[in-house]
Amino acid sequence: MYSDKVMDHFKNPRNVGEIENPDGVGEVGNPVCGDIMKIFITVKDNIITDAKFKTFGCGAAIASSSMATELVKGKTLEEAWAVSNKAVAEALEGLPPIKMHCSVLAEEGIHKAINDYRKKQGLPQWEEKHPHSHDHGEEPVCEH
Amino acid sequence: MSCFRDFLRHLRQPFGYARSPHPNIAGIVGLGTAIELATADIGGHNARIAVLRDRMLKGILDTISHSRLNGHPQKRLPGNLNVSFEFIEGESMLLWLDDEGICGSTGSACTSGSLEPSHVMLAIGLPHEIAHGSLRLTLGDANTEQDVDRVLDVLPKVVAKLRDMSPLSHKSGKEGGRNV
Repeated sequence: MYSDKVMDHFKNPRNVGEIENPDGVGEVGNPVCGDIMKIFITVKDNIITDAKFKTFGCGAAIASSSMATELVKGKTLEEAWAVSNKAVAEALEGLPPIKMHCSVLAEEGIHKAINDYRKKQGLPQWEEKHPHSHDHGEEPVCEH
Repeated sequence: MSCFRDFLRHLRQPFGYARSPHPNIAGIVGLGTAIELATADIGGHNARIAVLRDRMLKGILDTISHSRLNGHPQKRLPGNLNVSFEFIEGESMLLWLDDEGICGSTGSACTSGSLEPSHVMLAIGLPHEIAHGSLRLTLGDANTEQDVDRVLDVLPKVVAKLRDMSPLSHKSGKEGGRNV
């Protein structure tokens, strides 16, 4: 059901772990929905020099986190912000339709980490596409 | 003889003129034999499998922290084991187990085609996040103690590997959510 690329990133995930004293952290998802991604980034001169993740979720969620962190490393914040869920899914040689929300979570996790960095720098927030999806509310909505 | 006539008449096809069909003799005999074999020693069969099942359960609960049995310890099918592991999700467990030649099933949403975990797991009172981390393993006559040992060797490593990359692990102080 998964592409070879998804299985590769699931079984040999890149960038697993946490960054100590990260410049930005983004956490998206909810345990109730069965997936949580936490993305850590290091930023130097507007460039993401390191990215790591911790993920609770299915094979596609883990592979999406791995691929998303790979894609944003070395990019400027503007370039990283433009990495779409579609780009993550395409880089993984496709995801089953029911798993596309995993790539959306990855995109949102990156966005949240970048905005967390911008907030710490006193910079204005960039507008997120789905700022309230998968929020940690009382009644989480598990959909994408 | 009248029995045989009735048998033929009842098997008659529509339209009246078609011949009676040939009953599937081999299939009938085969089914009868299969039922005989399956029920000949049903008590012994259940007892043997339950021993393996209980051994597997004990091994899992002894070696894997934050694990729990779902359902009743005795009032269940003898070959059925359903356990949950906190902080991890079922499908990723199945992918690794499949890689090791171990077949299982999970109540996680990810395998259901929806984003809701198993309604059975929820109905017996599990919170969503624990339902997502459920694993069902079923044993049959063909399974051996070696199979159980293999599960007990592989499963703790799979759980540890996935917990290592989970943001919910007990190290982070988040105990997997509510009602635990």
